Amino acid sequence: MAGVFLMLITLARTFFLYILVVITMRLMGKRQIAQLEPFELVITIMIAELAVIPMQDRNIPLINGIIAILTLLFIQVTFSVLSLHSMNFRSFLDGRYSVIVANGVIQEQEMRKARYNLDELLEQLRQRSIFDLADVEFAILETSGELSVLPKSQSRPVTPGDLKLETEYEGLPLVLVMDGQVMSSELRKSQLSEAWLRSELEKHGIKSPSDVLIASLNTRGELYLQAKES
Amino acid sequence: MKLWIFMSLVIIAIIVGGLFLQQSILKTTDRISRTLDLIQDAVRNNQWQEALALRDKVDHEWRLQENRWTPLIHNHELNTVTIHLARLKSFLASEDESSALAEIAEMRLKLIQLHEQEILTLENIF
Repeated sequence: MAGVFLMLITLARTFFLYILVVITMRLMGKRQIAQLEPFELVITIMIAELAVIPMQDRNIPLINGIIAILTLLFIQVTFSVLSLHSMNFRSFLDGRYSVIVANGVIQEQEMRKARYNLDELLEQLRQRSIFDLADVEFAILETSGELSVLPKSQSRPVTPGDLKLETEYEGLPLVLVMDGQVMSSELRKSQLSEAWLRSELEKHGIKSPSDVLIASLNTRGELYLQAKES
Repeated sequence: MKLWIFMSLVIIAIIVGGLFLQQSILKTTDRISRTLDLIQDAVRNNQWQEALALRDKVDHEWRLQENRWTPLIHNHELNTVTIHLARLKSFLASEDESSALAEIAEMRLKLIQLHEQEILTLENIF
């Protein structure tokens, strides 16, 4: 019986810490691991580690892990606020970007400073579908480690602007029904009613929004519809 | 900014809570140490019944505090004092003076350590 309680305690502690870590991560903001700045990455790893220790060891009070996680969250939020208000603090915390290629010339000194080698440069260029260094006008190594590339004007894909073509306005399509649920807020945004939606669905032989997998409306007023598999 | 204010309040609450815990440990360990002195005197004067009664008083107070501190202090530290109290009871019951005195000395040291571990000092930080 004691073994069962021991398992339940571990279960409860894990559940609680998981919720706490999820809330902490949400409060830290929306970022993917690859987009994290160095200090954010450090804090993320530390939070994960801190949650695991009291999860495994029942002798460690849960509060120890909670206090450490909350302190890290406080540090992260404080640093974010300071970064927002001070450019100097921001560059101290995140570092500065490095211009690796300037006017088509590789900046060896910048590469040495950033400890960034040619293999890494070529790899990140390939990931951006640039296979020839001669096509690069500027390449900037961002503080997150991402490479931003400005291709030479002759190597850029042609845009309607280059061809002096008039184009129509294109906004974001509005998702009106998702997984059978009517997105009322999106309907309100587009100044349409549910009655209109139902009549449109009937035109396509669909009786109810609950039968729709996805329905979206683009800026040209065209409705894209896909019914659920019956 | 709202989140920062909220988190600042949380951190202030943690600091206040920590100071309160530190004071609570200091007061309790002081009180128990004083009672341990009385038990020590009773043992030296062969007043075993009085020593047992005083030990029970310490035990009662310790149980109360232990319940309060369990969510805050490493369980191992608290268990050690509880074990010392149990052993002391058996030494007092069997009227074993030297073992009882050794147990009291060990327990007193453990209480000092318990308090010192919770103080904000450079030694504890590093």
